[in-house]
Amino acid sequence: MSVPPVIEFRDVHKSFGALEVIRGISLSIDRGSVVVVCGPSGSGKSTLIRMVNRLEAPTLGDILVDGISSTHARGEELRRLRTGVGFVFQQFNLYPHMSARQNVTLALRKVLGKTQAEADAVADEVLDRVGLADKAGTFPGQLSGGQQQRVAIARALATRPDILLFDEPTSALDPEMIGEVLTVIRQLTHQGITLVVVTHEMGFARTVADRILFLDQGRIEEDAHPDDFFSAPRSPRARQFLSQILSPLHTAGD
Amino acid sequence: MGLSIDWSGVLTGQPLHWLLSGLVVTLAITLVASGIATAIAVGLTALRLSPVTPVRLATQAGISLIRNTPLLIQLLVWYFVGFGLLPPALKAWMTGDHPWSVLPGQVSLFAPEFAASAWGVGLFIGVFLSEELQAGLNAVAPGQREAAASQGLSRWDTLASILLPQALRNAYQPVVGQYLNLMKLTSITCSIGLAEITYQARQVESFNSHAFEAFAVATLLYLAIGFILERLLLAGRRA
Amino acid sequence: MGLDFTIIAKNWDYFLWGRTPQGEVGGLLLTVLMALAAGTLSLVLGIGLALASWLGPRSLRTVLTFLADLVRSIPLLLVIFWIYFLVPALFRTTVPGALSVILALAWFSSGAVMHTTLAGLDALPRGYREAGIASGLSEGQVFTAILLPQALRNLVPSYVALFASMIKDTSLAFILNVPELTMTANQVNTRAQIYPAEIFLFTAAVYFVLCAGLSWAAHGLAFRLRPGRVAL
Repeated sequence: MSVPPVIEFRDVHKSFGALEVIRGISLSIDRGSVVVVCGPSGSGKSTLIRMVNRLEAPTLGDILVDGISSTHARGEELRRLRTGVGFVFQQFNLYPHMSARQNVTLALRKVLGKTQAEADAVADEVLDRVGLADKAGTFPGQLSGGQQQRVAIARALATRPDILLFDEPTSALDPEMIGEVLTVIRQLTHQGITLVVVTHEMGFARTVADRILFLDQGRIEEDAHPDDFFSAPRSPRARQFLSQILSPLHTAGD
Repeated sequence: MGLSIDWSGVLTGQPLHWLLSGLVVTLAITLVASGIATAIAVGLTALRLSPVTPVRLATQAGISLIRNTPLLIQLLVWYFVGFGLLPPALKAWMTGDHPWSVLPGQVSLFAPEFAASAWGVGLFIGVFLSEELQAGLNAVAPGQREAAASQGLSRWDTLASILLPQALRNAYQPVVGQYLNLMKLTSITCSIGLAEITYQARQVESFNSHAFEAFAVATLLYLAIGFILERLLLAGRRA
Repeated sequence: MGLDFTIIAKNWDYFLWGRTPQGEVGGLLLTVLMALAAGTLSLVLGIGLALASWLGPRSLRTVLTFLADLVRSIPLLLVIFWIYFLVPALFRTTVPGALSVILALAWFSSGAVMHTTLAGLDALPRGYREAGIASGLSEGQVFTAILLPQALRNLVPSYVALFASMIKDTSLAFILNVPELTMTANQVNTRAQIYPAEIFLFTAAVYFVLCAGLSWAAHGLAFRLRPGRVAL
């Protein structure tokens, strides 16, 4: 019995004006897997996951989420698709004029039509999961970066998505807070949710991922299991990248 | 120094009556025009975000027209031309007998002067308000829109729940300033015959030549209204 | 709604300069002259006040800002009336309507000019002053040779925008029967009676062309004079 992939890229190209950022990527991601996307800056990794929920639209090709094209979906259909895909931004993007709880309940009420009471119950549960039950009434401005990002993860979890996308979730954090966010993400693995994480945290990737996608200049240069990728990368660019990232001067979150 | 000041000349009898009536009219027109301005500002802001290009362009053109012509001319246009453009049924209703619409001093809310003034000043400030809201919107981080989109929020919900509240917070001082402006600009409506404070001050002046006293009272009234209005609006910031 | 603009064609010269040939300046010409006079005065006064605030003690800046805000808390029209009615009473001379409007506008706007100029001075990078001081110039020399010219250059677009506002505000002279453009339009309307739409729409169009043109010029200037650009 073959299970259809939960995310599928079909010969996707993306250009910003004259700049071609994604040059023909085709790939399938299995349900429940944990995929880490890495690569040098400018390689197109952020653009790649942003196209999954159509924050960016491909110039050519198609992307299917659970069999439905996110590229061609519009209006009601697109919004429904998006509630099934949680997105966590590098800059958190919490709504500053709302408390943590309100940040989490907004989409539950406005998009999924839950009552205030139902939404609050879900909010308290997911906030507890990320370890911030006591901060439910606090505003983003009063939270540390790590706490804000955990609220952002709770917000993404609230709609019970099948897929969670992370766009460099720890890149905007001070080093001492990276750990608490990675811990939360680690706890989400093997719970049936598909995770796709764009990150530079190679220690995390090595221990948590099922699959590493190495992107360079808009193409997938390597697609391997972490054990293979870290011990014997096949492409020269991947080798170069790893040596820079894992050099003695770099303190990886190991 | 040839100034003999006689407060009783303006604070008793007919002059006092006029000035108080002027005060009521100024308050009434400020209130009504503010309502109109707010509605227009929200409407314009929504129109400016329309995905339909001709709608956006037409809105920008209209805004530019209102911003680049004097309020006085706009009032004259609405007064002389506007009333005639209304549908006959509405006109008939407005000129009918409505005792509740007559303010102290025999000023009817539906008199051409009042209606043209409320609409003219309301439209004028509505445009400037929408400019301030737009500036406030531009200052909202683009990530906010993306976060809302990624959660599947509709365009309307994004605007109402995420963008406008932050735009208003960003632009609160200028927005308050525009409402205060509106109150001060109501003084211009005396030119089309609305019997508000400035009109009545001139009335008193031509009645008994007490220019200093009449204008002093008018000045104090405007300062007082402005002070109270500003306190009220700034207190709203807590909300 | 059929509009008949022949009334405009028959009176175009009256709109443009009123009774100037008969010795009484009027129409659009008077509007522009009044705006120029008030603009120049408010510029001189406003920049002067800004300089005093900038170079003087902190308390002076607070006081001047307070006074400027005070004047702006009452309607401009009332300021016009004060000058028109009160100056004669105090000084036993009559003040022509046009002059009242010019003086009132100048006084009213000088506050805005002061605010804008101070903002322009505040916005200058600290490095300008520090570089000047480091090369041995005195504070006064740094100010007159480096800071002020740069600030004024950056402020030209803002001043042009204020001037556009001033053109619009001259219309208030109508209320004192000064024969500028708005009054002129009203006179034509009173005589002709049946063409209010054509007359006032035309008048609005004239103001629009003038003010929108100035705004557009201000934007163009802001772009060409933007900080960092070396030559004009």
